[in-house]
Amino acid sequence: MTTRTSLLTIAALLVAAAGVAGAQDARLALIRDNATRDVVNAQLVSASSMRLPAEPFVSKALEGVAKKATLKSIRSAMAALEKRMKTAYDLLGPSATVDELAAGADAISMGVSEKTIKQMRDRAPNRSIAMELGVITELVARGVPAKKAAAMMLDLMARGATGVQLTALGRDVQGDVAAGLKPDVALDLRGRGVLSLLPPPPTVSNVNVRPR
Amino acid sequence: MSPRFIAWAFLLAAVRAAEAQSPQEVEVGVGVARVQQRARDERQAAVVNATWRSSDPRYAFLVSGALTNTGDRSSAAQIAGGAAWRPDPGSWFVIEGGAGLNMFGVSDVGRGGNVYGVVRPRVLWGPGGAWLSLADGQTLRDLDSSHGTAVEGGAWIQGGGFTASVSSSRLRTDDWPLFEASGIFLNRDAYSYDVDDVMASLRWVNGPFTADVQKTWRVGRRATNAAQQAVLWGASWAVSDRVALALTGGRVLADPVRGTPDATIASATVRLTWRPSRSESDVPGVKSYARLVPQPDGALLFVAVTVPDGVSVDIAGDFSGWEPAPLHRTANGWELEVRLPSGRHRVAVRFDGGAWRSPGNLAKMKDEFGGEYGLIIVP
Repeated sequence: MTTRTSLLTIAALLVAAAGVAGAQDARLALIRDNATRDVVNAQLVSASSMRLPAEPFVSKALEGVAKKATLKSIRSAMAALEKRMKTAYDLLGPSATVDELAAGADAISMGVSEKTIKQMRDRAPNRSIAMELGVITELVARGVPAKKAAAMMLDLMARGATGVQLTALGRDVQGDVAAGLKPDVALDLRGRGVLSLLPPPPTVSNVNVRPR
Repeated sequence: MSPRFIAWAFLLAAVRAAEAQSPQEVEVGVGVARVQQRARDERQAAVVNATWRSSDPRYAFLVSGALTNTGDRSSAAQIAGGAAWRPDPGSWFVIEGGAGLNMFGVSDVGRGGNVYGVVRPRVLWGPGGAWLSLADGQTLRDLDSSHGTAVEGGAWIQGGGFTASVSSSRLRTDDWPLFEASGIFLNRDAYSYDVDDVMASLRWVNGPFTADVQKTWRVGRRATNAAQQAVLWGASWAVSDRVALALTGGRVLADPVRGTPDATIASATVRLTWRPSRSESDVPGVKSYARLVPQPDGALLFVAVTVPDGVSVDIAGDFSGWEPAPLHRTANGWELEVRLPSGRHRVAVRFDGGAWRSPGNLAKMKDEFGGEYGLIIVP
């Protein structure tokens, strides 16, 4: 790369960063404390350098400010979010959407393994899996063991479960847990119910059958 | 101006404190007041008042005391207590009662005092309700005893951060010195004196800011000749969960039940509040429930919160930029209705300024600020 090209690249990045900062100005203005706003701006620059979207960081900062968190804990929360977002980015790939990255970070925070997230991406490499990541996070947060939730989610994705089916599954599990069922039993029960409505997974033999 | 009337400012401050938002709390207010009784000298005073309040789903109790120091012998004291009871936490019927004792001139107790009681049944429906109030008071002033009663009916409605109320009352008393000082006395030999009041008030709450305005129209009836009007306003700003600044100003009309005179007041108070951090699990009678109704382009989120009277509720989420979302009053508490687009959303609720928690029925996530939020996935 020539010096001229490098300068143009840097200039373009600066313009892009300025654009991001400009878009966030209105929301950052809600943060009245200068020190907090400086910390958030520094975090946005750091996130931008990792190609992470600004939105989840701004939202986390606003949450911290609204909850009257200390500057130290806001900084700590955003640093932890950056770490999770970076891991999600590495697992989901550069084409991951903001929602996917935020949902991936949530899933990681609840103990969903990196291997599971990678497998979920592999199941659907060309579309957003934010919904699936959100639902698996919900299930784990409701008390379903992460491994059990992962196995069911991968099965459901392989069978082509829709977003509506998955979110309904989460609600049904919640209802069963509230009624006294164990979370893993509830998932087993409800997950099988959804699976029974889906077509069987493609096998090696029928994948290669020529349609008549 | 007679120092006994300074007590009026502190009675008013105590009543304001009694409207504090939280049960299980202690509130101390410190400030200054300027009081001018009709046709008398203006007085300045230092104000100190304290309130303890506690409630559960069926009962609420309040004890409030106030002291004043005017720098001379005319200090005053006031203490008031109140209780409320409802048959069950979701009841549409509440009955409240209270009593107060005022001493006019603590350093010279013989100058006077007042004792009063009030009973107020209330019925609640939808975002409002109505009440009927009966009050009775006995005043001893310079060894002269007098008596006052009041019957009041009113109604209120809430919505969009506003609470509006209107009431009408008939007051009857033989306290002619009080009405004479108010300029509405006609016949000293009358057995009793009657006045009719109509009062309209409006309260607006927006985040940490609260504003009140109250207007009273008084018409003289038996042995009186009055056509008086008074406006009283108040504003407060909750600087933090523990500290609030309050301003009050305007005119209050003579109250024969409590023995307080027609006066113009202005006060500035700093209120300090101590309350335990509370969440849904440790506030009796509090329940929250979230429900998601799928829509063609997202979903409607309903969060219903059931709370006893006096428990404050905040709901916020990323959909509101984490600012408290506007709530609708219901018979048993508050409700949030918000349209959410497809995607991932977070919402949290807190009670009495305590820790933020996930509404019931949602997946609970730690928020890294010592609280939690509820996760919502909209298909």
